[in-house]
Amino acid sequence: MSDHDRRISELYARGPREEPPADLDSAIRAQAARALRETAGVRQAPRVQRRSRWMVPLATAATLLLSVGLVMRMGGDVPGEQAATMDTLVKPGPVRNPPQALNAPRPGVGPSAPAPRALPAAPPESMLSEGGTSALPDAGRITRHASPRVAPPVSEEAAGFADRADTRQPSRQVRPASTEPASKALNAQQKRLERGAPAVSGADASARSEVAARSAASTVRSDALTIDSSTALDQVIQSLRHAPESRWWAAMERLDALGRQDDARALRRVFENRFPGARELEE
Amino acid sequence: MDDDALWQLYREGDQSAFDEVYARHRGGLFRYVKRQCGDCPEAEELYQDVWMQAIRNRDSFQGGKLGAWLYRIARNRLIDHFRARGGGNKDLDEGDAEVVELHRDWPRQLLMLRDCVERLFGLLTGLSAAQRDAFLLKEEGGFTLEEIARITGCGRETVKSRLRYALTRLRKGLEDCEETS
Repeated sequence: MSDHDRRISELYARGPREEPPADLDSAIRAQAARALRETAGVRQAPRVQRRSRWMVPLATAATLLLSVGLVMRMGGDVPGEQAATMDTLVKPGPVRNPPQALNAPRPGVGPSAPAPRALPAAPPESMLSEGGTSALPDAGRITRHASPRVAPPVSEEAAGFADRADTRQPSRQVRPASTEPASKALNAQQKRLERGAPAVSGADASARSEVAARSAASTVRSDALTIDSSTALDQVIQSLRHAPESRWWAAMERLDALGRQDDARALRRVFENRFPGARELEE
Repeated sequence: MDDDALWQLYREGDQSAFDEVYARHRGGLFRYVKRQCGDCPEAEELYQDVWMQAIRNRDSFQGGKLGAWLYRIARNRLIDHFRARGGGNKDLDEGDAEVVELHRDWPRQLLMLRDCVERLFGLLTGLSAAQRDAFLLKEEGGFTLEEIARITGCGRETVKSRLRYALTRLRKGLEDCEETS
């Protein structure tokens, strides 16, 4: 740059130094700040969208999971499905005794008493753990209604039975090696119930009778098949040892029908000794 | 901190960074717009448009020299202005031949320093738009020939030629001034 050019630059620099007015400066600065705020808003919006993008599938998955759980629980009411479910829970071991029914509280009715309503088959012994704990979801559901009004002695057992059934601890449910202890415990439980439990609350009794009736229904059904002309009376009595009255009557009729009136009478005597109240009612 | 870093901070949300950049360039950019449009009444509006456009397109600045980017925006805005006014953009891109008559017949007694400055600005308005553009970019923006070439989209030699013509004409118009000073 020559001296002449430098001189011109100096002259130019000495010229008026106009600047934008203050209000124009303020307007431009405000616009710049506003643009930043708008950008911040725009950048937040996709974040919200992103959240909603995965919230929907999450909610769907949660709903599906709940639905499946609910269906699985409700599916326990269907006998076939129940058995299938239990099969997945318990690997059945050798069962020596046929399924034993809990003795229902005697309703005080004779042979004309209404048959228990059709219920799913009772669980096999292998599904009952120590202390008569059942892995059936039904048992849990039944006793859950009764639990608030449980009375001390027997209801404690029933409540314990129900609660343990409800918790469904795998260590108690899966007993593939042997089911004998469970069977013995169940028999003990049945005997205790047979002796007659005083002061059983209504809900508790209904829960217990429902479980017992369910067992009885399945047992009668199996007896009708087993009693024939060659079945020994002792065997019949043995099989009816813990059976309800209705099953006894069914067995007597069966023997009668087979022409084994003597055996039927003998069975009647055993029955009367076992259920004295039934005889009184009949008389 | 240089302009680029400040602009980056502004893009990330730092308003004070914009204020700093604005303070650095407000005067030169304003004078460039005002003198290039010949003290037109729309000068302030044009100047504001330049900054609005810079703010809107702040993310499109990919580094380099922020001043050059701002002046390029201003220049494009001026071209749009000239086009809208009906003059086209030949004022800025062409018109080297169109030069106003220099004030050779000013009385010598008036050629004092203040008068020299006034005379210089009078001569500036008589330059072609392209020559004045090159001169203002050099004086207000402080850009080199290469930078002016990038801003104006011309070759370096073209810019050098325009600048040489502009200075020659200014020098001729200020001969008496130089003698007195």
